[in-house]
Amino acid sequence: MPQAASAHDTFWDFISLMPESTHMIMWLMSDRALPRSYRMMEGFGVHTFRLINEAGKSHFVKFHWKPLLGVHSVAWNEAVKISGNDPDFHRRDLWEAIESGAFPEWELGIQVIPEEDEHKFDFDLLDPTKLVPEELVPVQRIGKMTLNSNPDNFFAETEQVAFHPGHIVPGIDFSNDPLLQGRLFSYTDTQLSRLGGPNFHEIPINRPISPVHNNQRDGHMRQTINAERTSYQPNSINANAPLQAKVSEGGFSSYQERIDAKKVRARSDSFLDHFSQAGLFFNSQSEVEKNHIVDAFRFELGKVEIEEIRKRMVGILTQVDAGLAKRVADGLGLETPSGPQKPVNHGVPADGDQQKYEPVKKKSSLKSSAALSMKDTPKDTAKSRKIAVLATDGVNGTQLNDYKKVLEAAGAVTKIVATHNGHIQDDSGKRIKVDFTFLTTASVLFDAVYVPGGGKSVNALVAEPDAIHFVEEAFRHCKAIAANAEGLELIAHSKIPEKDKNAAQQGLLLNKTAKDFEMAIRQHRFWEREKPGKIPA
Amino acid sequence: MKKNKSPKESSKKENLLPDTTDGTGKLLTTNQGLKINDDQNSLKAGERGATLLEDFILREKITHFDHERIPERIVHARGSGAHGVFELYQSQSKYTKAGFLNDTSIKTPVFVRFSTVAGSRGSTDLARDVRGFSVKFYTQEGIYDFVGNNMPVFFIQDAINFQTSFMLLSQNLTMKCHRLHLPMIPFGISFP
Repeated sequence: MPQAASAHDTFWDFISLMPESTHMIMWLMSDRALPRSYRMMEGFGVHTFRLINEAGKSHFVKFHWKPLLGVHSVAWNEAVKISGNDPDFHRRDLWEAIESGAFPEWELGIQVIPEEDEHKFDFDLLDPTKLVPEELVPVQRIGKMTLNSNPDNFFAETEQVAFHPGHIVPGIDFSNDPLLQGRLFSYTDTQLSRLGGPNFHEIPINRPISPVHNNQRDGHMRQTINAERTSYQPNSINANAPLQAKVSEGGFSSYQERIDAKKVRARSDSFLDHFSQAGLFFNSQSEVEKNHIVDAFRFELGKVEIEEIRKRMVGILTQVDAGLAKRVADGLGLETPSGPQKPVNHGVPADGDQQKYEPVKKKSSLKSSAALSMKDTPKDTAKSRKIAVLATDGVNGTQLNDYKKVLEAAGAVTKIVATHNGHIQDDSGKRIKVDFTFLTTASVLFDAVYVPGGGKSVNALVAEPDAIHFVEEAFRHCKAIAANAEGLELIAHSKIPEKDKNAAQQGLLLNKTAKDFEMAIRQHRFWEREKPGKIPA
Repeated sequence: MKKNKSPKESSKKENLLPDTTDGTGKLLTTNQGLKINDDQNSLKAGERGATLLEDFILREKITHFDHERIPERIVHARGSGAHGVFELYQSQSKYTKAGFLNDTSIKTPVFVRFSTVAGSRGSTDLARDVRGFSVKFYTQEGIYDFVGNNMPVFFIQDAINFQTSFMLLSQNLTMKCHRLHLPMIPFGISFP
């Protein structure tokens, strides 16, 4: 049976019947689902939490991690090829960056909402399918995280680390988000089975650096040797120790939220607006990002075999954006429906009133939100970007070294990709170490390509179909490409269209300076050339 | 390459030191600390004879190997981690009494794990998928875990829909496809 990159009928069946998933689906069909690097993606706490100050006052909070390298993604066509060329692409990228001293950094952001403003929004803060637009509540950047050391042992650290949203400290507390509430149970439960017992907090990576004293004992793989005689409280033998901590001593005390309600199994009406923020997300995307979302839906739904599911899903998309629904329908060869199939929501209890579960579309106070697009993300550095230098024997050593010097000074990483392994000799006879051959690497593993001059080198590259394919594929994926002198020959032998062949502003730099190239690499991609510049590669 | 770090910054790494070993330049032993003389040949009844059950060195090696795997996470099995440090710009005492968000002189050690959601431990990094983004803060007041994703919203509103994941898996299992596409286990504990 075919597998891997094929979407499932079962998944889209469910999604098309559960309209509350629509907003998340928009994110998932976007390029956010294909990060260039773990170092270039945002992090979100998803739920609303609480911050509690010394006076006991509570504020709602949304947590964010903002990567200082900006938020960047790869193209779908590229992701598919990376998976074959290097399934460890992100893992390797993170490891190499840290080993080379290019420490990944994120700023911690908070959106703080006074408790009295809880009901001021046109969505419910407790609903995990909603975000708080940054235009409504700005993100305050309060600190920075720097990753500066790789694990010594994958299993002991990365595999055995056990996270739990219920691990909090005084000053942080939960909201009643019904997804968070379930997670608070689920994580301990799953760790018990995965790590084999109740003592997983003793595994070195999970151990707090603050002291642990309690009356818990024994269990599988117990490490701690408790020397005291008592394991109960109250006790007189050990002067009642370990003693409970007063709040003034740092003891944790749950936030005293006022509750006055009936015990019910129900969904709040305030959770029924499933489409406004899905639409807000789509409206906030650049044209290129929208194109990618359309393509992703066409791919995913194109793999769905039951036509009824495709139709139902396109019906849901009419509630997000009419243009999106039409483009997806066109790609699938379907008529664009005028609206969703009724009833829209199938997540209804047996005795539930269907009408009371139907989605309600509220008028959003925002048309778009800049933070939801990657278009204006920081593009101010070439730091840690990987540049392939296509060269072989006879390469112009001066040009190669000029570029290498400028790029490496900017923090970029250059790798020599040659027709053979070992060393090549430049035009002055100097030996240069080869990093990869066209057999051992591919353009999709790099951010940009440079072809220095040197007649003999370029002639050999022109005679190597994989070298031509390398630049063509980099062009298709909208990467910066530079060539000098004879290096232009390789570009001339490629399918890169004539009209694009001196468009520095489009990231194709022929006989330009190394600095120009570095500035182009900072741009990450020249997505605008994607549609017109699509070539078979 | 190990960078120099201030003592406070590396305190979790130091905390790990008593549990860290390095066999460089050391002699080979069993797990009981017994030095091993021959790690190449099992104990046999004669050079060409059957292997003896008595061979505790052979049995220890095989038994340990047989038990080296633990169940992988039902979601977020594919992960990559790193150590680091969190530094506060400005006291947030206005909002919170959490020590690591109050005192700008504290450098809080962290361990981060990034992950995909759907794929197994050995699957590709580049699937169309949600990415887990989890941070363990080793604060002076205990562990604070930030257990998040690279997307700010989620598929479902109520944890009771978690279990539905198995429905979505089922087609794949009947097709004998154990490699999943997409974060197609939005449920389960679909956070790292």
